[in-house]
Amino acid sequence: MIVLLIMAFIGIVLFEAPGLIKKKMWRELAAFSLYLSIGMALSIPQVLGITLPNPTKAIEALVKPISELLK
Amino acid sequence: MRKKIAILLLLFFLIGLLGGCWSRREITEVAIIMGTGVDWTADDRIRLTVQIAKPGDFGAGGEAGAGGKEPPAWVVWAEGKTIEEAERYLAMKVPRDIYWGHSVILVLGEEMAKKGTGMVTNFFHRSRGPRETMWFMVTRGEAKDILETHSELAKTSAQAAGFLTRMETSYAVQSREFAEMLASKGVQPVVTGVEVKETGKAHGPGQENPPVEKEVKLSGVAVFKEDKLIKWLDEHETRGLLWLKGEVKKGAVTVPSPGEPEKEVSIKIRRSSTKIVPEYDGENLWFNVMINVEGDMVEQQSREDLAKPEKIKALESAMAGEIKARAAEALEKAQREYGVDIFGFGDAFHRKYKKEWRELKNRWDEEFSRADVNIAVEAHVREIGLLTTRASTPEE
Amino acid sequence: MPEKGKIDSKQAVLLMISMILPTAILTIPAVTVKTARQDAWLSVMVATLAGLLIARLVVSLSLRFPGQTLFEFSEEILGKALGKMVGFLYIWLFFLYIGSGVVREFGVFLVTAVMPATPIIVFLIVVTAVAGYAVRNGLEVLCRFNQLFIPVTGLLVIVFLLSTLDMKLDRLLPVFDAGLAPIVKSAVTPTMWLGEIVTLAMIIPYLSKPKEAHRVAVLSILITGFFLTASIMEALLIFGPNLTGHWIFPTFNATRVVSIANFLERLEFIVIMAWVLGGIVKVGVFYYAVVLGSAQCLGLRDYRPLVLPVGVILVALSILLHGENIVEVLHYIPHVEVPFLLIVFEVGIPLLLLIVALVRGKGGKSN
Repeated sequence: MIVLLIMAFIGIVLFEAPGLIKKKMWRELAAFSLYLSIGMALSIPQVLGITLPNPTKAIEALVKPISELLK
Repeated sequence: MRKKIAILLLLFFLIGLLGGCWSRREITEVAIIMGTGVDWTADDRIRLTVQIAKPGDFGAGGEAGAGGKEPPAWVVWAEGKTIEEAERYLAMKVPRDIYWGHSVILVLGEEMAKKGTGMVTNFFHRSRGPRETMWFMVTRGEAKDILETHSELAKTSAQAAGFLTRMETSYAVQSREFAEMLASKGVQPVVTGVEVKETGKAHGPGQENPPVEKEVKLSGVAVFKEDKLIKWLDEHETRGLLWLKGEVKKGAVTVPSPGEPEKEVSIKIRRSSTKIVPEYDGENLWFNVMINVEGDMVEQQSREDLAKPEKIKALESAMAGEIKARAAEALEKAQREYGVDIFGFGDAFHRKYKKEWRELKNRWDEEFSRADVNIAVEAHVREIGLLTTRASTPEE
Repeated sequence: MPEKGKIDSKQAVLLMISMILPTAILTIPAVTVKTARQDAWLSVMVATLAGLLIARLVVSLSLRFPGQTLFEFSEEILGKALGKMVGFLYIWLFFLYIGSGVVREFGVFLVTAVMPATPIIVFLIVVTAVAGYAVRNGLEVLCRFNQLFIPVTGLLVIVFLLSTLDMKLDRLLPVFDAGLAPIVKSAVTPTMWLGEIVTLAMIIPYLSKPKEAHRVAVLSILITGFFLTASIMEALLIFGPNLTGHWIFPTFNATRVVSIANFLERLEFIVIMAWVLGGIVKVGVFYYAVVLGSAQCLGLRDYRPLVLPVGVILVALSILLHGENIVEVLHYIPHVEVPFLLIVFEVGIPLLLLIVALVRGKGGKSN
């Protein structure tokens, strides 16, 4: 599974990056790398079975007064 | 070039999806269940009985009848604490994937129904296989026996039972309608009753001694209080129930001939409607039930000429009286003997008095038992068939 | 400008319908019927009115800044830093949140109702990949895909008509059973769904006639509201209020009941088709909003390089954000998504932007 995922990431990089470098779109390349690393940070731990904190729980606590009201 | 490698790598990722056919089921690998029965055994377990179709035998099975031909269905059962557990034990006996999607009926044995349907229906509503439209019925006896019967006209007895209920001669209820009745406080469920009866013999050339076959027969309705079977209504009372529920779609009313009361006249029902109007003044609760019915006179035993307006009027009033008596009989039984509102009077009350309903709903059955009910029937005879008077009436 | 395509008003309306309806039609009936019972259809009507107000707000705001998307005009109104901040919030907490939610619901429904043995991740990846492909090809392609498949939604109407035999009008009575409060309360969930019309602010600049934006918004809300009401009515008229509230996907079960002459039955495949095709478009719209918004926020010349990474993020978030099992998925919709997204992103921020724009006198007159 992890192998497939890493291959997918390599595939994505090979698919997008060379074109961006050739056209000298550095800004785009930076954004691409940023987003891809966020994607990796979110997906690799999940595949490895590491539980990430779920932000929804924080939002749930935040909006609790309102959602209680709607019950 | 590098782009091609990239695409190849991405495509490689799709290998993970290649197993996408893993939910497939070939028809030769599934056991198609036609009917399901659930019994409560003597040692307090649930017995799940299923009738599995043998599609290969469907072609000839129907007409060959009992002439030594294999029946086109296989009945098999297993026990367990829950339906799912029983189904898993069943899977040890059935060499194919069990497929629920074609189950026509869900029949409960009497003991199971007395124990409560809550232990049965959840599985069938929760799983994606069984349909919400399965005909729901209760047998006076064991559900297994119902599924083991034979059917002369349909391929399997489960289908036969399904067709019988569809004919609308008795009260028919689908599993989702049962759930709806159960979920409402304004009506107690009633369920089609069935039993095993010896019916006619199969006839044909080469059948010297045709065996007497057992078939499924409709027999009244089972009356529930919440999810437990309490009593039965016989066929006669069932008609009264249907009149009050406004579910009469077919059938006949037989009344004495106006001029010759010892001879009978039959009127076939065309259409009918029932309106329940609750009235409540904070203390007294009463219901006005208006039944409207139209029918055709189809048979007379008497010799008098009924093709006269005043005779038709007399027939109509006799018909109204008969229907009213039938309805009153069922009502009497429900109110005085069983003490359950099986007619949906509570739902009608809820529709009209939504505030008062909130107070009454938790003791509705008592309120219902105390309520007065006025039944008014308006009957019309529209057609008299191809004859005016009897064809064989001698010259005056 | 990253997007060069133009779409006409009709395409925009159809796109907006597909953006709201697919998940709404399956999940809203159960949620609203639970509290409002047989009056749930009134809730949807209330929600439609609220949706019209939200649409009015967003379109008025958007039209003050012709040719600018949500991300561009929020920078103009609030200044660069704050504006980027708002854009950032919209990307990560609104578009990605809803988008990943839809991806997850897409998978949940297919696994629950149709293909139990398939791992959910397969559906999540497939829907994201198809939507991503459309998004990469631009708004026009997404619209055309939608135009091609939206007639399936029309088929739903036929299924509803076929099921009239199993319906009883009595099941809708009595009206106003529990009074007004439950109706208003359960109107909140459909309002959040209809409020997704906020996304129109990403699309108005690419309308061939931006002046018609008000018409587009009103039409989309009305048509969607109609379909929603119809789907709730269908479930209610077939199952009654008690049973409808107990199913997870009442509309799906309602279509399973249809049986004409024992012959025309098992029509649930139409719901599944509408769900699959609509789900792709719905994911696509939010996907598009994320990549376009990110590109504008970060000042990129092209949004296409972002498509694949955002796809990865969508799939990852769809698992991470929306709970570990179906119970959590269903719990988070009314308890988190609805109040949070509705108040903050569908009403709060747009209203704030409009007020600040009026106070600072930014943007041209819209009407």
